[in-house]
Amino acid sequence: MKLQGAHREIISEEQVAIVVSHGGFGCHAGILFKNASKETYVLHLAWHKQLEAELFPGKQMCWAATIPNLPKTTAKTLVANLRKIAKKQPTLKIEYGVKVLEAFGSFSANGDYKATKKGNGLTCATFVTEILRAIGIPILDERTWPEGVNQAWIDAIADTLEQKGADADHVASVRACANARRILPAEVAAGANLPFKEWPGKHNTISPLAPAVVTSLTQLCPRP
Amino acid sequence: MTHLALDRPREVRHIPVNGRLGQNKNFFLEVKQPSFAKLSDNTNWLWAIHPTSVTKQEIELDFQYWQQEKNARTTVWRANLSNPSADGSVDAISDTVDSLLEAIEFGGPSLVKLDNLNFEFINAEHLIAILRTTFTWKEEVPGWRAALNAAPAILEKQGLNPSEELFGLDSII
Repeated sequence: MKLQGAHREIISEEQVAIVVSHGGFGCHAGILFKNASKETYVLHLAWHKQLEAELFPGKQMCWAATIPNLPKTTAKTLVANLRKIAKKQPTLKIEYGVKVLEAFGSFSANGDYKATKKGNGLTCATFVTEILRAIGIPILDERTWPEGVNQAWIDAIADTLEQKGADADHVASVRACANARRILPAEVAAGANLPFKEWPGKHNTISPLAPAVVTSLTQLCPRP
Repeated sequence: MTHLALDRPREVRHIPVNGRLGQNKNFFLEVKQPSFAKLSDNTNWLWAIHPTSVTKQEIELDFQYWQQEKNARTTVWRANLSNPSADGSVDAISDTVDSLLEAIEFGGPSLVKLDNLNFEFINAEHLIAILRTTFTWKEEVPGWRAALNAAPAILEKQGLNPSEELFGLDSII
């Protein structure tokens, strides 16, 4: 699949775009919308307790986009919810964590994040999927993703959390996630590109599409 | 009497207060934390009054204040929902969502009452916005399931595709 180069007018005020860029652990994901003043914003979980609502393009500078084919009123509702979340952004402290299934339902449409008992936070990718899930749109069937595929990724996150001063309990919780599923930002973009009636996308459908997302991103945004 | 503002919590002690509040309903008012109190019917939150000066009259006045605040927070979404010709622009939908979420933050999801709607006079677009925005609280919003069940006919009547616009709302989180 091919992405589009993201720019301020890529979406109307009644649309959202799922955007990806290059990030610290490979790709990074966010969601694009227009606020009430019709300015284009990108909402993304940049890191542990660091949710950003930035005037596009923000600090990430180069993003590639796909516009999910949402039903019209559902898309407008999503925009309305994103506007509300963006207003609350300074007070939202979402932990960076990797337990995917355990985080289901931790995010409400008003932006409130309440870690579930067994969850330990969200990644940039699961932040996007949880926003959609909060309004009844599960774009991925995360249960079909394989467990325990990437201990190096888990260690890299835990090490970075530790270096940047996250509390020890949280670091330990992340480091202990040997069986975590990894939802890639490119897979979120690939899932968002499916016709919505094919949601939630299963791993065997989505995973083969992800490399093309990365290729398309790299063509549009050279690696820094 | 001083009402406590959300952004200016005052010190209160945790004390139980018995009182008879508005509309002949008996409530047990328990101060849970500064600036908030919970009514004994376990549904609504009330601005707390300073416990050292609690009187029955003050509680009644505070209850009236709470009712006014509650009404202010339910006016916009209810007006849009109950008007089949309401503006369906993204800004109008945002007004509904803002008002709905303010109501939830003020009084909890049970303040969003969908159980007494006249389905003959419902705006399909604002109904979609309300059902989706309250999806994570669907078990706590009175009448949510009934509104979802009524939604396909309402949407079809107003030219929207129910299988598209209601997609996913039957799923489990």
